[in-house]
Amino acid sequence: MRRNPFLKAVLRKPFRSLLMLLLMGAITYGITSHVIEYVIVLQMTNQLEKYYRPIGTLKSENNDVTRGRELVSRSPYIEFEDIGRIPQGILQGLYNADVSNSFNRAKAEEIKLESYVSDIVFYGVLQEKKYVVVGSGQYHFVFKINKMEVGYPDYMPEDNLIHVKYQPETEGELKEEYDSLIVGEQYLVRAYYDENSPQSMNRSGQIIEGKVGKWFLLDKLTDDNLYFYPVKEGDTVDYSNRKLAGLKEHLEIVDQNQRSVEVYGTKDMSLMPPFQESSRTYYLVDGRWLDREDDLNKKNVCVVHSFFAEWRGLSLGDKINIELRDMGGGYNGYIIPLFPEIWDNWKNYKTVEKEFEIVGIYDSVYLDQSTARGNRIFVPDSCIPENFLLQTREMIDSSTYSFVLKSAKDLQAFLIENKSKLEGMGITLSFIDNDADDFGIASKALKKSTQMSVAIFSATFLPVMVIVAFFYLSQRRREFAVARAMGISRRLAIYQVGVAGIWIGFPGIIIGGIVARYKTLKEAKDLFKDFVMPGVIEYNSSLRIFWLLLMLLLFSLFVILIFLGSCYIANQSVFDLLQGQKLNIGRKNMRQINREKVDLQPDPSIKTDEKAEEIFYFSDSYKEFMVESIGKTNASRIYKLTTSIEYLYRHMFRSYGKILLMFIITLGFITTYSWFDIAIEKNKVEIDQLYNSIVIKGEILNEGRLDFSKGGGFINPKVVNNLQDTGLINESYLEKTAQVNALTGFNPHKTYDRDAFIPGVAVVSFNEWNRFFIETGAGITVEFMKGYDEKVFMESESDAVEAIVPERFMKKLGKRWGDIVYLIIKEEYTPCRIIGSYEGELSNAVLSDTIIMSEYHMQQLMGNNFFYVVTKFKFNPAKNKELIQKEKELKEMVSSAKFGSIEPKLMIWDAELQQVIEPMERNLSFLKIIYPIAVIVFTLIGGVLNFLIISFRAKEAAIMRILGGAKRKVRILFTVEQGIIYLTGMILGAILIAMLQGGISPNIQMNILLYVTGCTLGSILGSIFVTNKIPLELLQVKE
Amino acid sequence: MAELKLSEVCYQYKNSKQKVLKGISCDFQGGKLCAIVGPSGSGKTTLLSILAGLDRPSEGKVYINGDDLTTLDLDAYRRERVAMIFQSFQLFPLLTILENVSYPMENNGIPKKEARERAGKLLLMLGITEEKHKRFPSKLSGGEQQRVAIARALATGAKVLLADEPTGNLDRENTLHILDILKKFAHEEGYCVIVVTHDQEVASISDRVWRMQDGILTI
Repeated sequence: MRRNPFLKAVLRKPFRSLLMLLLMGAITYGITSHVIEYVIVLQMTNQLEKYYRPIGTLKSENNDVTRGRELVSRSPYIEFEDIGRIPQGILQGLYNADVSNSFNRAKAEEIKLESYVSDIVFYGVLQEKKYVVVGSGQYHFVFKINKMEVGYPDYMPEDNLIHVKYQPETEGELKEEYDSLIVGEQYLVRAYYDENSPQSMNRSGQIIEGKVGKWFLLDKLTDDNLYFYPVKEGDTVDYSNRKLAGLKEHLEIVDQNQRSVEVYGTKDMSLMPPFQESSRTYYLVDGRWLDREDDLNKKNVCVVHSFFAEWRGLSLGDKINIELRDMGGGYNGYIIPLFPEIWDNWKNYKTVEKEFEIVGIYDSVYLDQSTARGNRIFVPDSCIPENFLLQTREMIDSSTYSFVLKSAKDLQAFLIENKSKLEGMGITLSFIDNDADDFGIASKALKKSTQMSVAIFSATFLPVMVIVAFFYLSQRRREFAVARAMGISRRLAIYQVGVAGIWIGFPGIIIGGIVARYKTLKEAKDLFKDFVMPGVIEYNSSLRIFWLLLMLLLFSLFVILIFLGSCYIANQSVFDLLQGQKLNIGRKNMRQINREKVDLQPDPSIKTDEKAEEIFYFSDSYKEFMVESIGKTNASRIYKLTTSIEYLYRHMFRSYGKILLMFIITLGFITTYSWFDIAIEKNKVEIDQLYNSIVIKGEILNEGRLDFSKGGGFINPKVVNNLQDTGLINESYLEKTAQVNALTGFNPHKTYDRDAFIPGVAVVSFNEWNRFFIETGAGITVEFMKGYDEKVFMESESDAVEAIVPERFMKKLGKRWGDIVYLIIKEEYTPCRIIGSYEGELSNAVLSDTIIMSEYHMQQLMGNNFFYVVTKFKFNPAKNKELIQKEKELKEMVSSAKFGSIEPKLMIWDAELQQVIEPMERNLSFLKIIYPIAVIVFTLIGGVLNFLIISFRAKEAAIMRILGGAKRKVRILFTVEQGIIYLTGMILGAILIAMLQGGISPNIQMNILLYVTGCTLGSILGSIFVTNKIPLELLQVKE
Repeated sequence: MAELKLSEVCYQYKNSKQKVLKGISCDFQGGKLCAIVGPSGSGKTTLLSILAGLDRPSEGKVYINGDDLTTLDLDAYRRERVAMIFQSFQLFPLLTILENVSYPMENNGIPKKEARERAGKLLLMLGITEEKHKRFPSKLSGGEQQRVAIARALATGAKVLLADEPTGNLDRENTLHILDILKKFAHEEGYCVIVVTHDQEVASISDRVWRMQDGILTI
């Protein structure tokens, strides 16, 4: 291997090499971090743009949108369609969470919707039996369970003692069976969970007393009215026994149903209409939504309901096995009698078992929720076998169909193409508002800001790279000549200079690049944290390649600079280089010199012909002149100063390349400060503007069905008052409700008449008439009596209470508009005038027996004895910042005001703010972080560059010293010369800033001062460094 | 006539116990061309540093025309009383040769116009034609550059010329040319010219040859 003298030279000048290496690191860091940031912003915004594409839905009266879908699917603007497939899924080794069932058993059986999941069939030893006289009488049994044949494990009491009761409908019912039961004997018994019993689970499925489900209702084992089937302890029943006909099949179905879920296959959950924030339906509790990538890559991942996850102790990353069954049309995934083909043949459907990893947990904002809500699990459509549920494609249901356009730009064209045609089919086309506009604003601002930073930092740092290459080559110039003189070929010498240069460039580039990549990725993650992500955006893999390419580019650039410089040196005369005198004085400089008119008046006696070069000649007069005059002039300090200035001037203008680079760098740095300042200020203004213009909405959600006895669904007025007292709320829409004991058509003095008496009537009032008909009153139509309308109704402050009552009340009570009815509250009869009536159902089950009143009359009637059922707010935009800061506090305040075990939840729909402002705020804080770093890096670069520039003039300093220049003077001269360069750059930069900004902020002044201090320190240290060298050692040719 | 006199001059580097110069006493008379010869590492450069006023002896005295060097401002001494010529010329690369020569004069307070005039004359005197005065050193031959260096040395007005291998980079013709110049300055102008050299030819034409060996100077 050939020895590389250049490499040795680099290694043996570690200080200088290290400085250059650090400069390369700083350059790489500066450029790479900004380019990577820009690329990430581009990648992320491009990827997010997919998420923010228009999402369309079709609706028709009968929900059949098959024809519309056929039309839409042919559109060239469609990216993809999502036709949900919902096969049954059977959890393997896991039960679903529908532990309280949702229906009244008798009602459900009547309409064939009963899933029997609340069944428990067990072998139990009778411990106690009794007949309790409550109302029409009840049978109570206590069994000690030996074995459960079927039933949720949650039903199993800790002490194995289960209480079963039976309410006979007719006299003597079950008496025979009761009498035949012997305490201490074992029986096979069937019961079902009684959600209304005490010591059980509440409506939200929460167990009141640990893992206890003590109270169950007795049910018959078979259709032959068999309730108790005696089995000796240790024995099991023979299901083939005719007495037990059909029981085994029933138990199998119950077991299936208790492990059933609806598996919803989607192509992109993140683009499903109900999952858009604007739909105010579902929200993500943890993890992520499924996205297009999941479907395309057939990833076995799923998103489950938070209730199911909590109830079954599941969390992100857990895996669940599901047997998918090619069976749709079920109800909550259940096998129910309503679908006899399924009920009878469920075993014959194709199945496939798959394991899914939980990647997301969702919840919904529905008020009335049963434990069955946890039964829906979302998976990528591609994970469901293609031949499953083919029928769903034959008749497209509007609830499971949506489509996504390729780009937001295509929306208009798509509407023109399809809207009127769809309307002709009786199909309504609509698009979901998914904050695409907000995203557009934020992404544009981010792109612009990062583009600018790339441009500025590249323009600033690339000249520094040129200087580093120049320094490096200046050092290698003579060695190059020596190598050439030693017979090393030009090509090899260039190669070796390049290889040695790599030792400076490569580590610097790698170190700077790694730091930049690590830091920028971290920053970028924060930057995009608050955008609603369609999934985990994988920018690392492609970015790694880009990063490597960028490193390669910077490295190549450095190598090219070295190569070009080496070629330039190689074109110089070796001898000149060895003499150390060769410096290219360009034509420009020659012109400059020629312009300097030197008034020379040579002695006419001196020969100036061709031979003069070989003859030196002293004339007597000249000798006298020299001897007398030289060294005897006492010049003033000012004159000496002007001499020095002239020297500086000449030197500066004759090495204009270096000077120009240094000047550009200074100018670049100074204007970069300005850019930072402007960018930060502009961001602040934009953020403030957005803060003051975005209206954030909020609402309080309360889980559970509205139930006056349990408090489910109600919102404590105190919490609403507290929220309003924060001063953050601008507008509220509030629906109040209270319960009166009864409503009657007769006055108190009349005889009690059961038919004219409606017990437990709810009263509702609200503060916005129109809004009510979007919220709870969406399903009703109101008619007023003559002389009344909504305005009169809302504003009436009459002494008599006025109300709008359901039509059916009027029929039942035999009343008409204008009649008086009586509200019974704590045995007090309050007259109430019917001023209107409504038809239809209010959107809440309990509120269906409801009369509507104005707020004023509600207050008169109930005082403070009311609850809220709907509370929606618009927050004050001027206080958005405060709202964001207090968000957690507000949520805690709301959730602490619970009824029983139900915690209300404050939802603040601030995605718009988060998606627009927060990225901008993060960008701002990113700028604020990087600004001081840039100031420090620039100051360091300034210092190091000035030091290096001066250190390269050591020989010049030595000549000056030899010619009598004092160390101090040389130092001052060099420092001043450098100072003139960077100060000129600084002044021009400052003028530019002042012109652009109309002044220079104190912040920029401080940063400029810091940069100048760095440069000055570098110059002073460089000057001290060169003047402290021994002049003779620098000037002598070593022996 | 300039005279440099050394009395028991010793030099010892900091952090070193060994003396580089060991009690040198000698006289360098004006009007003479003296040569100092000796092997590498014998102390020639150190002696030259002391003579040039770039360093002070650890012990002993150096006198110039009777003035004790330790009492003088060494910067002023180098500016006005001693001048140096180097083997590789050491001209300012970014100054024209005229500027190179006028620099010490301007630095010494002579008005620019006058300094340039004198520099021009000096250059002409040393055979550098006027058309070359505006060139940069790199555009001249070695002999010419050395003559410019001599001109710059003369421009200081110093009467002591210290030359460190002044002909080391030159061909024989130019060597003779330069030596002739130095000799003439010594003999005709009374300069004290001290040449440090390895070149026997240089030594042979010198008026006096000093030998340096292990820090000791002998005739």
